[in-house]
Amino acid sequence: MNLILATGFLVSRCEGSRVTLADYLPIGMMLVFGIGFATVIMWLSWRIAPNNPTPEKLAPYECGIVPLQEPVQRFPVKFYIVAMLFVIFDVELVFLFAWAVRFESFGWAGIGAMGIFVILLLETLVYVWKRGALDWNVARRGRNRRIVVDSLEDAA
Amino acid sequence: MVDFPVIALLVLLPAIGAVVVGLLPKSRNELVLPITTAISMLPLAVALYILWEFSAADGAAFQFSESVVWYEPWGIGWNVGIDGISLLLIVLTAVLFPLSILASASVTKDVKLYMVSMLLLETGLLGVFVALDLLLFFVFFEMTLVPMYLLIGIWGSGNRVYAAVKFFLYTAFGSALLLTGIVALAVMYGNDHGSLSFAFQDLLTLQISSTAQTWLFLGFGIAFAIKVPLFPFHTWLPDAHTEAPTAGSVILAGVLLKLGTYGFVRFNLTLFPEATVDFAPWLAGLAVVGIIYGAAVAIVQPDVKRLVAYSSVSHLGFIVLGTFALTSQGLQGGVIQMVNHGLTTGALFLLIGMIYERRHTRQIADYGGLANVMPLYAGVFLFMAFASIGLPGLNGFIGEFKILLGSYLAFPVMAILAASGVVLAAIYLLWAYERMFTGPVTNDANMGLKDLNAREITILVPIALLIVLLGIYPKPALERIEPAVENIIERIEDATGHETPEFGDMDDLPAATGGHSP
Amino acid sequence: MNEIAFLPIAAEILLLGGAVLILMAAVTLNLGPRTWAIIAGTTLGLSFLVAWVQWWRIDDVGSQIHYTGDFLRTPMVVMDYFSVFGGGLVIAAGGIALLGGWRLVGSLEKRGAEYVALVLLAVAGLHIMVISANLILMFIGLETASIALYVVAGFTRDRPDSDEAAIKYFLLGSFASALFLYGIALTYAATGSTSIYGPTGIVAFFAERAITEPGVLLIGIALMIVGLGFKVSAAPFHQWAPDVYQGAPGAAVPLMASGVKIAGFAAMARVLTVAFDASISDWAQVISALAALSVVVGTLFAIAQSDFKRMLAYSGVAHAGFMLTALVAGQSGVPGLWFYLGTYAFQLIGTFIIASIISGAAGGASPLDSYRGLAKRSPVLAGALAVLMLAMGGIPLTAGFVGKVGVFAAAIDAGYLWLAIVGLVSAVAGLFFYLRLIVLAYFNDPDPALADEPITAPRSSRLALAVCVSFTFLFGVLPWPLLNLTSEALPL
Repeated sequence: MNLILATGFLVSRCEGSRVTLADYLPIGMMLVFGIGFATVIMWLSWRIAPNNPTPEKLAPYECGIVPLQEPVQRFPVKFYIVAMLFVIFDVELVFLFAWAVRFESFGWAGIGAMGIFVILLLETLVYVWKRGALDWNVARRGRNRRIVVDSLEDAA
Repeated sequence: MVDFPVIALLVLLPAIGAVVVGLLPKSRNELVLPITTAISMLPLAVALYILWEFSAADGAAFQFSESVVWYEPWGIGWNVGIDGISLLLIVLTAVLFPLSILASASVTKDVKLYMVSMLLLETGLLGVFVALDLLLFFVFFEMTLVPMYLLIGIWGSGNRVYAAVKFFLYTAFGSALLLTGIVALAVMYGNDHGSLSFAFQDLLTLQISSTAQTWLFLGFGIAFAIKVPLFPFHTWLPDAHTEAPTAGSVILAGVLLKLGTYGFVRFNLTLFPEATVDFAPWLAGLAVVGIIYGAAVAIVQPDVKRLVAYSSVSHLGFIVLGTFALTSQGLQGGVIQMVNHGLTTGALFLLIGMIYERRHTRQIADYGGLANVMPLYAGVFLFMAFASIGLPGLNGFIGEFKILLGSYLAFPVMAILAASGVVLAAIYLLWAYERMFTGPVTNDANMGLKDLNAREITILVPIALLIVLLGIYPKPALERIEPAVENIIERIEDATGHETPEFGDMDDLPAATGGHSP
Repeated sequence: MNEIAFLPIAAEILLLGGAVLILMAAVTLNLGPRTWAIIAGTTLGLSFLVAWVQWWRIDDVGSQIHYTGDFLRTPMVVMDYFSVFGGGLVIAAGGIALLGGWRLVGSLEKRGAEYVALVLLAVAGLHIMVISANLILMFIGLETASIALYVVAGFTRDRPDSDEAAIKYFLLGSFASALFLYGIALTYAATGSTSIYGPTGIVAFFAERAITEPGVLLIGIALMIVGLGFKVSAAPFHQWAPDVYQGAPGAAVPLMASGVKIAGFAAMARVLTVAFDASISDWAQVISALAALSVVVGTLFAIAQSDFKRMLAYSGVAHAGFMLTALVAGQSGVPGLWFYLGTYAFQLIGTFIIASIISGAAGGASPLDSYRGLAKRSPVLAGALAVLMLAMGGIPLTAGFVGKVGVFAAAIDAGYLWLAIVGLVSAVAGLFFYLRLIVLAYFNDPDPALADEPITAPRSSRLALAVCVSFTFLFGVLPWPLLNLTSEALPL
């Protein structure tokens, strides 16, 4: 459905030499339809579903163990760092796919550009590594952290 | 006329002097005063040379003109020249500066900065009087602001910071309107001729619609009215005068206030003749209010410096009245009175400064019977007070007489009201003299006061001489002013069809009541 | 044809290379601040030289658009006098700002390398904004610079107000970037192109046809104005500025304040006066309203401040208003805008250098009371402060005055006399708070506790300050060379 609407929009967009507000009608229709659909579904589930709450039903785990502590716990920060680095490198590498699909038409210029890109990625990796972000070893990280703390104390 | 850029020399000498003084070694503070005094004699020499070379017959034309284009696309240039109106003001400036610098011997705090400020102030003031390019004029106009601000703010007394900031903001507000007007004029010229121009001579050729003239006149006029200061824009003046150091007061009253009246004469009257004729009764009316108000307030001042400050409001009212009478006599009187007021009020401030250095009070009540202790001082003070009142034979008489004469032709009622200002002047000055100088010495602290010393006499003698000279034989001065003034009047008559009343056609005017007033 | 031209983007390449080198030198070879300084200085110096070379090149072959052809469908980069002047200005401002705040680098130890690299990246991003011929590239430049500066704003993370500044800057900044991007999208919808130049560009589009129903286009332009208005801190999009200027490490603020203003206004001028020159009657109204609002709001709020940096932030809002005033005149206002921008940037850098000397390179708040009696504690610093304050107030014989004349002449010429009057009256009201600094520095005695404490300024700060002050004074007395340069620096 959406696909058709969008395609229709694109076609009219390409054919029409002048752009008028009428060309945006499909978008408007899509908007109305989307909001309407969501509203109707939510209204239906509210109307149809029986509502009979009991304390057990409202508990987080209806048929499990009673929770003894807050579920939110402190994780070692190194998990976050690794996750962040993973996301960064992962996202950056996606660019390689776009290039790979059309690398013949880009030619040597494309290879050169991607070469620079990869070198920059490598440089980032080296920097992250050397600053100790990849070290799981607490002793080494501790040493690095002390430098940071010292410098902050100096600044303060 | 003269190939040598004598005006550039005149204007730049103090600035160069300021650099020289600024470079003096910190350890030799005692050298600063003599060196600065010597430096300030140089522009005086140049000014006297200009006075000598100035051709009185061509008083209407700008002489010694220099014209160097600085920046073509904006039409800005070093356009300078001196005509009969600016000539005397330049000489006045050049005379007052060495004297007031010499009078600053008691300044001990940051002497170098003080002297640098003084010299930069002189450059600014001289520049204003010679500038024939409106942007150049504005630059110099504003350039006087900062040194004066520092003079009041650093070396002033008591409430100096308040006074300095008030002075700066008042004047800067006017300047903003002035700048808008100047830029608008240049843009109008640009629309007509394809390229901007700030040159006075170019702008004189501009045909300005009467609506535009009204607004531009107001823009220029409010700026100058604040500077004069015309009632009701005068409130900054008593504070600034009172708190400023002696030299600051002298320059402020002697020269800085003249920027306003000079601006009126030079720009408002010539560039916007139609609006001038429309506004003349109003401005003359404000001037009369200023004359009487200033005098009335001066009478009750307990502080002698404040008294003289309010007397300035009154005297400057005379100048504005003469200017906007739009008669040859009135305008001549206005211009010569600018010089006169500079001399007499400058001298009074110098005298007050001298007594303040001895007693550190300006309250009239603290003095009394000073004539017994300081006879010479009392004599000079009385002489200056007489000059300020306008005693015949002294300079003030010539100016006030011409102004009253000229304004009577145009606005008889106002002239009569203004004449009461002369009477009030006699009251406030002579009453103050009586309280301060006559009778027995009432305050023991005044007993041992020393009379004027050689340095102080050196300062006062040149002023006294000039006062007598202008009072007895003003012809050379008036000869130089007259052609320039006639030129302006003619221009107004040509542009507006306004008939300037003159002697001899009094009979033609029905009962001599109207003139051109509505 | 795959057209690759290195000259137009040489500055970016150099700056990027410099940033990489500094990071590598710091972590692999353990080289210290001296090496970073050499690398950063060389990079910035060479980039500035590139600007000169580009200028000569344009003298020879004229303005050019680059990266057209098959490789990319539309021109991405434009090399004209406008971009070269703006680019050179960004690099110069970045260099002076970095020099003036070098003391911060020393106090950061290892993290200092990151700071220097981020500054270079920010400068590169700002440079991209100036030279881009394509709205998308402009956005990329904006984001590159912004992200680098978000990090810089929170660099002294031990101070809570620094964190607050960073978060505030980040949240509001991303919001503004998003609006800018949305504006680009709507512009694309209306005109069919994101590129300004080229046969399919926006300029060509407007040359060929008129839009009968301009609703989408107008919303697009409005959103772009809002996005850029945020970056240059024009009212009513200025709320972030005081907190960020006050909270961010003192030495880092100059670049944040001046560089972003330069690039933001360059982008605004490029977008409005080139791409949408055809609909100037639509946007000039909006810009004039923003200008008046900025000038008035900035001035009024600045009067009420008790912290020097906050005051400067609000005065910066007013200055943004003055620059917008030039923009209402369209392309004929560009020289006035450039002059104002170029001189104001250095005034601002100089003032913040003084602020960071007084309240520490990493410090935040800079209460006005700490300037009391500055003339007695350090006459040179007080003198510099006085010159800069007078210049910001627009007093003649400082560059600020010439800038104001140019701006107002442009506005009056375009028929916006009321705007010029609003601006001038606010400028006078603004004098009140500029003078307050001079009053504090010269007319008051120092706090007895601080009176004997000498003010130490490292040589780098003094040098940068001297450059800023002499620049301000020189171009106030002899503005002609710069005026000539700016009158040539028009967009293609």
